[in-house]
Amino acid sequence: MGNELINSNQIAAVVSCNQFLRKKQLEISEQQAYEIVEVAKSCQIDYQLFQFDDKSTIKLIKTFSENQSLRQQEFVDTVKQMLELFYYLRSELDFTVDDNSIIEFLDISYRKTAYENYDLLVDQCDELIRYFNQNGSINEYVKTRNPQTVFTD
Amino acid sequence: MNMLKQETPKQFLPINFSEYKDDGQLVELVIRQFKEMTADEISSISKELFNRLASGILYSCSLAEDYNELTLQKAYQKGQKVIEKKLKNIREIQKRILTTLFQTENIYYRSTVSDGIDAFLKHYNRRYFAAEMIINCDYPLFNPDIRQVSIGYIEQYLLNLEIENRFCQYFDNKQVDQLLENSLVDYKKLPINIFEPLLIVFIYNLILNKPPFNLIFELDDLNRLKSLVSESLIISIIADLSNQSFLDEQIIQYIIQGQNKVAALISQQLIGDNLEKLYLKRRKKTKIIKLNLFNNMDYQQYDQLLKLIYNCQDDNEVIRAIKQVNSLSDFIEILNDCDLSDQQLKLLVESLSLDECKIIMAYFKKYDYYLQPLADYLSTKLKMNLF
Repeated sequence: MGNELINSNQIAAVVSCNQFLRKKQLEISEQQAYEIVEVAKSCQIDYQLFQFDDKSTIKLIKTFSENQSLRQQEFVDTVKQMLELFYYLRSELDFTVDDNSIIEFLDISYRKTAYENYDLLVDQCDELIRYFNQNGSINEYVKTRNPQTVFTD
Repeated sequence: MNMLKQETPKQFLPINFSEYKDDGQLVELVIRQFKEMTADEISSISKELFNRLASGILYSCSLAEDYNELTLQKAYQKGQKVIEKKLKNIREIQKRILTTLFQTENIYYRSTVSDGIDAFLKHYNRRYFAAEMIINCDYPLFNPDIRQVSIGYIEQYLLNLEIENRFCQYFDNKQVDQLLENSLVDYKKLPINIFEPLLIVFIYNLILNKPPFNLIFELDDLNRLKSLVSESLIISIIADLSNQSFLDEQIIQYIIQGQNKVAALISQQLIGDNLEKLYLKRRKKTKIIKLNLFNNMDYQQYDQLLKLIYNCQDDNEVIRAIKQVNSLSDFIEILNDCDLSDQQLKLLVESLSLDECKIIMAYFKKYDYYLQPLADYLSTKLKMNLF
């Protein structure tokens, strides 16, 4: 645990997710929490983002914990991968797209259109970015992929 | 917020931040604004947006008179009030200028003060992005204030434009358009300053003891001017403006501010021997061809004119005779039938106005019928008068 950019509060915030994770037979150890925060930090540095609270990380963990096909072994790895994609999208989409919309896009796409395949999901993220750059919004795009979804923003 | 203070990467702070105090206050304010802007639904901010928000806050603070003695939040709020006043002031100046706008055919003059400023007022986001400029003022000022940015620049721009507009009002607008066309054929579509050539002519008038807002000159005036003008004379004339009653104090101060520029421009003109372009020569009272397509001569008139041309004693007489034609098609036909010498064609082209040259060239193009070498002389004249 040598990364000085990571503080214990952030690790504790991730570990606190265990309260709802345990109900789904999932758990994040302190070491895994450290790894998750480390991925987030590394992305923030790469994409020059300044994170001022942990809400998005916790929301992402919570959202993916609902995916019943993810078992304990792959859950943390998937969360780490989704965090990478979350920050990639966060850096490409502007402040008119909120965090929840990005997380819901990742969740829906991961389950429904990328068939839980990371590489396919990366392609779909690129497609989303192209759509956003042309249209200035992602809502319509996501709706067409998942008509049942209603976004809150 | 203590955690935020420790974690803010230094490179996120704007370059001019060192002038300000506590980076914690700025980060706190940026985050607060960001949360407000995004309804607290985004928990990370990009460096670019952080910088834009921070610059807006710092710019707003810098407008508060005593910002050094205030907390950043208080200075920001005070600055916002100053911005509100500036916005109100900009609307008032814009209205004043538009009601007395100098009438010129240059498209940028009106569009900048009307559409450009409207766009600024519509899109300027004083709360979050107060430092941003949003529009470019296409119409260039004689004295632009490059020290100012954003709303401060726009306000000063309009104040200066109001002074320039007031000065231009002293001149006959039709003559001004002619003068501008003399110096730049495409002046209507180019972002050029109108105040500058008028100021130069104004100074020349004072040197020549002519009425200050006169735009009509004789060739003798130009020759006299060449022998009289010097940089020191220009500076002394400008310095003496306060003792004259032609202009108000604001215009005088504005001219003084740009006196070195005027002196340099005048020197350039004298070196480049470009004086003629800045003058409207008195129109000669000789008949000018009125070219149109519908006033053709009948056969008899045409025949008489041809005979007259053949019997002319010298080239000038020939040109005067040709200029009796009232229609463009007659004009082309006469030239076709007369077989003028090169010298006569040159004289004819010299005697035509630029508009007339353009009309004839347009006729050639339309019918793809080029009367050579007349077409060559015309296009040479038009090219030479481009600049």
